[in-house]
Amino acid sequence: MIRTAFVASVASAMLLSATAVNVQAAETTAYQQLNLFGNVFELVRARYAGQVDEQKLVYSAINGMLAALDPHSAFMAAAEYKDMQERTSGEFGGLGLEVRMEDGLVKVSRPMEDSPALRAGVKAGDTITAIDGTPVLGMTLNEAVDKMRGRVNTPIDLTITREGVTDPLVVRVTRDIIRQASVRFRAEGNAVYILITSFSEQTESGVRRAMSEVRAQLGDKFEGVILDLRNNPGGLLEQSVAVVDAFLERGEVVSTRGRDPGNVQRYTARRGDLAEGKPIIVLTNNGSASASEIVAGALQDQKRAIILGTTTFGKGSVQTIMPMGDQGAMRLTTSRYYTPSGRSIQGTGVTPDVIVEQARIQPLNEQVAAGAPPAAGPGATTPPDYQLARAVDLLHSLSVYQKSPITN
Amino acid sequence: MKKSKGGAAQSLRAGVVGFVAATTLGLLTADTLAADAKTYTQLNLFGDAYDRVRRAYVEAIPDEYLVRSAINGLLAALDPESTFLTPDAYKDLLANKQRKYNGLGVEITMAEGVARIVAPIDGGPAATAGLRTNDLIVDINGTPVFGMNLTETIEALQGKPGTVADLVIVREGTDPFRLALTRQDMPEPRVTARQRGNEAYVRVPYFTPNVLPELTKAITDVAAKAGENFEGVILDLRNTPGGSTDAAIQVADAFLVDGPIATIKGKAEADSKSFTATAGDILQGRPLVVMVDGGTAGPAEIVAGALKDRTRAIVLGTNTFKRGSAQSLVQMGEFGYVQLTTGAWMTPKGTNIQEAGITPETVVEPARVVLPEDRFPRRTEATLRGALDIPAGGPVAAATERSEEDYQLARAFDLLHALALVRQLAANN
Repeated sequence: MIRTAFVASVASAMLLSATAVNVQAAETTAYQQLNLFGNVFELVRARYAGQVDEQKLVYSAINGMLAALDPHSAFMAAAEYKDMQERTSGEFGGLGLEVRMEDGLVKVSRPMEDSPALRAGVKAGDTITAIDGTPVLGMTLNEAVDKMRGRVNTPIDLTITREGVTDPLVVRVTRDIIRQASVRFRAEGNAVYILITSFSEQTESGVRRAMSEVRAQLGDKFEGVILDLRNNPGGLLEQSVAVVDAFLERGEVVSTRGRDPGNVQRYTARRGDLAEGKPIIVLTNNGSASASEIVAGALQDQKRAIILGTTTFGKGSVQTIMPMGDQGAMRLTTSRYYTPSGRSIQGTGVTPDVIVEQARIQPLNEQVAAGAPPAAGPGATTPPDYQLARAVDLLHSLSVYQKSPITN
Repeated sequence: MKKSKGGAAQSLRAGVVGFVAATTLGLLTADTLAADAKTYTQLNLFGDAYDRVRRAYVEAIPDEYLVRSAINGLLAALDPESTFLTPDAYKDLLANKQRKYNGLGVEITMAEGVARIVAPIDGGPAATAGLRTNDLIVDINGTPVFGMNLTETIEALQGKPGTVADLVIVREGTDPFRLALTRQDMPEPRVTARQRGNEAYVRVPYFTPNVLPELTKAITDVAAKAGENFEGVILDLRNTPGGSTDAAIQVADAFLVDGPIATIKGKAEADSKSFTATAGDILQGRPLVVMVDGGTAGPAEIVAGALKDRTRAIVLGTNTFKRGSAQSLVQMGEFGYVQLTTGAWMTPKGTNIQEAGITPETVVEPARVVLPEDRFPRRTEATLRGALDIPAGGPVAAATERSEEDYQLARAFDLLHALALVRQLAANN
């Protein structure tokens, strides 16, 4: 999901191009339809046999309208909206799970690093069927997430089905403060390795800190940057633009286009490249979505990075958060975005330059010693993250090539 | 109550439903003005949202689509039976086009966003495949049910005979499983009957409009064969998931000579209605046992509730499904119709069927009767060595009639027989 701060820029302008007559006709239909809605609402109030909660009715109506548009438009009641704001900026009490909805059940995209969920043994791909004994089936994703949030140090029981395990597992997790540290970093070989888990308000500053700290650590050995966007579901559009800008000297980063063809917003890089022209590898997979795809698409089109991994999710739309007074907010799809070469990745995703599926590497001598327990501890040399290992190798090769080009 | 396909048309004929001109509904009367300030705020919120979507959404969307989706969202938040019908959908409903028992022979309702099976219909693919009451259908041919309304789900289940519906079923206590069902041209379910001793067993699989004549014929056939000794009837309403409430009233009336059958209690007086029995009892007072279970829903619950509360039958089995809301169709000008839940079906003693269902007087859980296998031949006097010869021409031991394998049914027969005996004793004294 991409959230934009330029809420005001999208509104208005719809009627400007139409003729007065058309406007009037359109407005008549619009009014008739609104009137129809009012009549249905009144009918329900007067004659529905059960309890009528008017606020719930209207929220359901707005949500029904938005959900019928696309999977990313939705209504958030006041509490949900507050949660969302917390998520993009601060801290909250929770389990540290990234989840999505599949077949009416909650599927774990991944447990966050250092999270209570990870410590309790929840794994990516697990399906949560019940929360504290309440079946998940029938809940919206927001409701399920709401149930998992709560006061720090309170326990919660998750009922989990896991592929290959016959019986459902019940896992007790104790809630903790979840800090959405959206950027983590370290030296990986001679590269600055930057993992961006989502695009929150802290992302750009996190990337800048990563570059200065790890670069200082590597000194002259610095060979380039690995930007890991795997399983990054997106976030704030401006933050993704800022991350691209940090590595681009010039040129377009992304453009967004609303319904009105004239309503194009272009984002352009300012001078300065934190990597000083050294190679960049961007790691992607099917969980890289939205703002992640903006970064991958821009750096690929501008030939500033090599994309390695698997094809991205393919979400090419931008949502605007529209606060509705004290009644929550709407998340509405207001534009599509296009990479610098003008392509929309909606439905197709960004195809990596170097396709590398994630894999486990089994050295041949292990096969010979079949039956013996697998090598572990300091002696084990098997890289735990095959895609990352390939990225490190690639970056190193590029660096060697750049330093001493082949001459004849 | 959702009478499934064609059900709303049934209520129309019954006159339960009035057509209300929608235009009068928007008018505010003086005494409602205070409450309307809050309502106005809510309506304003919708207007605001609607306006913003119209202006700012990434694509131009017809106003009709936006408002239709909003109305669907609003009605779906009430209950699965409250829906909006376009003029075309309304015509289909009247023409009973949807009344095909959806080719899978299964009655569904919506619960927690997915389809919940009320019960499979006798002889259909769903029954043959072993689908049960309360099984959840979460996926139909690769499309998640979550997010669909009842009409859309029924449409997804329906199809030409011979085509396959690939379902994902969630059943309590097991992992979700896949089931491929081949759709059949389902004939209208019919009442069946058999005679056992002097008793009639009558199975009503669905409350079609023809239930009463079929039931009457079945009972009179057995009564004619049994003659003077005719003892009574077992009415099996287990897994009887739906049909017409009119037919249910007719069936209850057939066993009652007067007094209340059921009422619809609405918020508005105009949405309330009482049903009273007319003279005549096709059993002429003979005992009646009604069998129910978790798949006994809607019309079947009306019958069971009426006969139980009026002490006309003993109800045996397990608690019923709890499906007893009543819908009205209200025309919304040229735009279509709202089918809205405007009432609750109540039994004569005031049990709300939707909330409580029908609790049997005699609770009997389903079971299979397994007779112990005789490991050795049974010993009787006749098997003893040197026993006196059985005098020729004397009485021959009658072969015991094989017990029912269906434990609930066996109990029902015992109960009916006992009731008949008590009645005979009372008559003789």
